[in-house]
Amino acid sequence: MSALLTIRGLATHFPTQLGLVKAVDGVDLDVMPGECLGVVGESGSGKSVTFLSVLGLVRAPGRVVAGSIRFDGQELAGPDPRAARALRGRAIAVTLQDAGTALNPSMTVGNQILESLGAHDPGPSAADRRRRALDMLRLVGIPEPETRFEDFPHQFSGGMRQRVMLAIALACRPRLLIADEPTSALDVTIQAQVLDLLAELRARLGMTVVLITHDLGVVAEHCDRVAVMYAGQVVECGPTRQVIDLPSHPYTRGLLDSTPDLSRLDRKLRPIEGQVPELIALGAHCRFRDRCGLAEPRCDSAVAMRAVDEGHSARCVRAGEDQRSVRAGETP
Amino acid sequence: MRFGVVLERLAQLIPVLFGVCLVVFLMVTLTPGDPVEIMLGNERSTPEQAEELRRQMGLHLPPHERFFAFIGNAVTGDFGRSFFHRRPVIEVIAERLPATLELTIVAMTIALGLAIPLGILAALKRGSWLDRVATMVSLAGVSMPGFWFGIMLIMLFAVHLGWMPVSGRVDYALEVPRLTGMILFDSLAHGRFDTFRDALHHILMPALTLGLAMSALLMRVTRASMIEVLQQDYILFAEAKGIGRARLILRHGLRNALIPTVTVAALETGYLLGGNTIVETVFGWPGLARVIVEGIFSRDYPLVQAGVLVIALIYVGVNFVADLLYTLINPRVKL
Amino acid sequence: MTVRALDNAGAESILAINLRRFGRDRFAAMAGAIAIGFVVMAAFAPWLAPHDPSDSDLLRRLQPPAWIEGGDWAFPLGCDSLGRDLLSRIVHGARVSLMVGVAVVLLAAAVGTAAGLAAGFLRGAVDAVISRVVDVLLGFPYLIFAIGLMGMMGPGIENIVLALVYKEWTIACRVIRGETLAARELDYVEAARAAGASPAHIMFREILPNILSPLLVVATTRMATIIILEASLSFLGLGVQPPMASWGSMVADGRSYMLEAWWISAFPGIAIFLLVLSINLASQGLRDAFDPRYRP
Repeated sequence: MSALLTIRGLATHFPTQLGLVKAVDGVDLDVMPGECLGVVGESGSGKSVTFLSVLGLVRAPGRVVAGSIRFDGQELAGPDPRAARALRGRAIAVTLQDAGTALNPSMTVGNQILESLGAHDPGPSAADRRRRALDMLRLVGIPEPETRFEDFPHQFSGGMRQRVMLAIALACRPRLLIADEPTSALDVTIQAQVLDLLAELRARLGMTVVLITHDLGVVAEHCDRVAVMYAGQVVECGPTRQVIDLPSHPYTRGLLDSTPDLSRLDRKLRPIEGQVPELIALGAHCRFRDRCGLAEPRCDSAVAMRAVDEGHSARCVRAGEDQRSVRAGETP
Repeated sequence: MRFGVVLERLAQLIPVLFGVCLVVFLMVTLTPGDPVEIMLGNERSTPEQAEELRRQMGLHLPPHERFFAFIGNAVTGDFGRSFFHRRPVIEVIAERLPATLELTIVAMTIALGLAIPLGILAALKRGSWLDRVATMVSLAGVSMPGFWFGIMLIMLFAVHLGWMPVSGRVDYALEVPRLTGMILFDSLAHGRFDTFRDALHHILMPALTLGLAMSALLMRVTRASMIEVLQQDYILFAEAKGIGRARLILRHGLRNALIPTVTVAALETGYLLGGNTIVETVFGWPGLARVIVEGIFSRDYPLVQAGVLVIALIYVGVNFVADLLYTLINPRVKL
Repeated sequence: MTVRALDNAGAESILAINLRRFGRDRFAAMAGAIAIGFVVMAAFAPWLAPHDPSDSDLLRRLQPPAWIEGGDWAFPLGCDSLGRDLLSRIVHGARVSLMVGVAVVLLAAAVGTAAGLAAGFLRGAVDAVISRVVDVLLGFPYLIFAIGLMGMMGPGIENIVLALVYKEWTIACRVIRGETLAARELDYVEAARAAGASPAHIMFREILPNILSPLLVVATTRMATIIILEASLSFLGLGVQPPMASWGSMVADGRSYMLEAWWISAFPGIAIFLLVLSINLASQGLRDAFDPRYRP
């Protein structure tokens, strides 16, 4: 099966007064049709910037400097920005972390949905668009959509706003939804509701979903596959179960150890020592070297992705050769 | 519900209006010296005449009674008689006010017409040469004394080049019957396009003098608020919807950036109304602001007092309307 | 009390850091230098001016600037309608502009800071009264208010200062009130209050040092505006009286000679423009150094 979205060698850089920040630096990723791919990493790991690059929405002075982004066979990272623009909102949609800031405060939610429809899929008439917009609100579970249609975003609760944002993003029935931290701005009780809604919509609309998050728990529950990002690179990628059961990169291991697990309350949480490296003056060595308890001389030169298993690879010199050594840090 | 808000705001206005009247009243009352003597000045007058004038002006009453009489009269539009013009003050004001309003409106139009597009462009091209030039020019604009700029315009375009009229509102031969007193409007209403063109020709330099400094200020506000708005998430989200660039900038960007601009524009009408004294003097524009200055030299206190009051009331009114407008374009303000 | 010592040190160093950042902005620093040049010119006017500013000679009436035919390098910028040296009058005129500017800004800052601190810190009835008065004064366009007052008080440099201060203090008052409202919620003020410091102590020793930066920016911007206002009043004939030289009244004098002697109006106006522009540039540099968000 061929991938819906293929990213190869993507590099997105931001010139700043302190130097060139390589926010994304050589990312390879495949998103398969119909799957839910989790993208995990700390803030600053480049996970959001990677997908803003896909949409052609990197803010100046940042820009995509290398690589290829193919959506359904069509190149988006080429010289013509119209390629990405034509797909935005229509074939690829995005939701942002906080609907409270992502919705235009001076525009009714109804109009914000109608605007998406008007831009890509006007249909036969305004009445038809309005009907479809109301359907969208109903679909995401807004009660009494007719009366809420003329309301402004600030008149909704946080969870409802998140639903409204989904309705806007999905108005044109995109094939790929990029959900950027869909739950981190919400109360814990609402988080589960929004994630369940996302899963339900995905099933009903047959969408492919990229779920960007820093929460491995969310990934374990909702994603078919997971890509772990660190310092602008993908460091591990594979089926969710496999990556969680057999983490092959010390960073993934560290993330798992620092994630609380209610079924194993006896286990001690262990934060990852040290800090994410500055993305300005990066050497050729493994980017995790200075925080890694298992660093060795081989880590001083560039490390490529190495296959661990079928569809599972990691950017570690030990990946695939001796699993026990990577897992050595586990507390029994 | 919205009507209730208007009423509430109107109620809040009352103490301010009362205070404005009090200040205008005190301006004359607390002034050292007897206004009657100052007014009679060098004219030879008998004590009886002075007493008569004092009685006429109500100066024999205690101050608080005089104040309430002043407010009572002001409400009915009775500001007394102008000594210089020898007729009711209200008539002089009614005659001169339209010219001031016309000039202010045209100047404001020029200011907004320049400031908003330039502010948007500077914000969009932040850091570019266009942004730097616009910022420099706007700084120069606010640093320029209006009276000097007006005189330089007259010297160059009217006196030396002869392209523009030196002063006045319209050529005498082209005058039209008065409807509102605003010639640009009246001439159009009468279908007199020759008069309209001539009036436009006359108003151009004074309105530019008044409007340019104001537009420099408004441009800076528009630029700053546009920069702020363009960094918001909702701009990114709207862009991700794949809508056109023009719609993105105008409907999502400008619409939200205009909220502070409207507030500042309303506050700066005060600058325009004050600047009118200068511009009307420089360009011989027969407006109310110039009458106030003339009234000071002719010691026509009732006229000065009423003129200052009327302009302050207009200013308060404009800000009141802007406040209502603000609640309309900003849905986040709770109604 | 250690809390105070620490925070005052913090506040001073913030101002110092900001000022150093300002110094690195060459353009703004240059503008600041020009403004200071004007101050020096005003201070030493009698020694710097080539002639007595009120020394008239009808033989030199409307004499053009030196580089134009009929000019004389002894009177580089030419002479006015009474044959007085324009350059000397401009040098002396700087005194009026700067004296009024400095006096108004200082007086207004003093009154406005006291009123703003009181309103913001004490709240309640004090705040209500002060805020009402401010609201009423804001109901007047600035120049109209000053013109009205000058009309009643009569001309003269002290009256100009008074007429402007009567309204100007409201601006400092609003800034300080807002900053004080924000500052009184901060931890260090809470700490001082918990330690039993008196309201006056908290206002002047804790809060004031921390709001010096915004106050400085506002003061420089306002100085520019006030210099233009003084010039405008003098232009209208409501300011200083002859034979005192003020830039505004000099521009007004030249209006009658627009056709034959453009320089009488032109040069004093350029002086106003240069002084105000350099103050505005310096003020913008200060603002950028203190709050870099809107830098071009």
